[in-house]
Amino acid sequence: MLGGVKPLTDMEYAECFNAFKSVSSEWMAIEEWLSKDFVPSMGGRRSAKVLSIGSGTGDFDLILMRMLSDKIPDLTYTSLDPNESHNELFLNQYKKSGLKLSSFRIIAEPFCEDSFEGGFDLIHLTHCLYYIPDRKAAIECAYEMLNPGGILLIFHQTPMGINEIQRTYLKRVKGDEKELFSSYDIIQILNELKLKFSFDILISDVDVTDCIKGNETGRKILNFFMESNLDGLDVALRDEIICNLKDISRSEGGRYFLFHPGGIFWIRKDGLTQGDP
Amino acid sequence: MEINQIKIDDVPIVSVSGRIDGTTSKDLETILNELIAQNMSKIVLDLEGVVYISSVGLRVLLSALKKVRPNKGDVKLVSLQPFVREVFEITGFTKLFTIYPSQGDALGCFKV
Repeated sequence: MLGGVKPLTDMEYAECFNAFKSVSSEWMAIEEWLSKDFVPSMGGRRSAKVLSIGSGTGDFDLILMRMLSDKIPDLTYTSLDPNESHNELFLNQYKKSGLKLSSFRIIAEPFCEDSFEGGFDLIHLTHCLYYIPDRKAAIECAYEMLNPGGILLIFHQTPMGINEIQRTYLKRVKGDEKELFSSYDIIQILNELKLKFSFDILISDVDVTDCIKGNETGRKILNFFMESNLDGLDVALRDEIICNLKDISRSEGGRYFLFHPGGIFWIRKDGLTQGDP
Repeated sequence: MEINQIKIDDVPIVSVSGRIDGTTSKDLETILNELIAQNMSKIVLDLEGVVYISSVGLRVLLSALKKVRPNKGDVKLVSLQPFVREVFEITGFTKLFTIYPSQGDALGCFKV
């Protein structure tokens, strides 16, 4: 980290993520995609074993769990995330949700080859590959852990939106850009692994008006964008980031929206089932 | 940015030149939305004269594509300049849009 800029603690990260979530339309877009394009193709199964890698606060998982449990009577769900603050939030949300799965567990660990034996029907990596050092190995390993006919879903940022800001500023702000990783890189990896995939981009925006106004919510959102606590950041550099953010956003009704679309990869392990969206 | 429209065999061909960015993309969005509102779900978009496209511009194209696809429509792109093609490749847009070398080729594919 560079002078004045600190890493986010688990608790801070969870707060910043929640601030981001409150101004992002991505979850709505994902929910729509799941309900229209993905979940119908999972129907007809009596049981399914699901692994969520990097489940975070569980927002995506709770949507997926609800949709799948309506279709699949015997649903076993395993979530993996090293952030204990996130896991606590997820567990609380799950308890409040009233969902009753055959089995549900959250494991506070990062994903690695030895995590599980495999045998999953669905594995998803949702916005977590930024934090995994060997992304290619993680994708390959997740694919290997699927049952025949199983599906690997990867939701990840494209080179547009937050990634544009990160490409320009991440290294200047925090001294490294190890989180810089987009759907473009995933396409290269999948091609190297010779895995067939479907790809789609979901339209979603982030309302960055608070960042431009410089209020408390905006401060948290900017921290999330830069994966750091920017409280000690040089004021001139902060102003430059905000100016750039404003430049690449569109203005509508007095607010500023950053186009931050989500990339979706859909990989089916060779097997008997067909019907990709 | 300059936008010209013609229609061949009931297929609108929208030719754009200049920059598609945060300032200009609204005009393109309006034109595409008007065509879609008139039930034109097959659109050819000639980008030969486009020298720059920002993410705001990409949003306009993607949004049009998502609107016409449920009606078995498509937005076919024509003649991308190297810089614009590179943007399309990096963003993954080449996996969603089909790009043709000429308007005739794009129109021909709508007829098949």
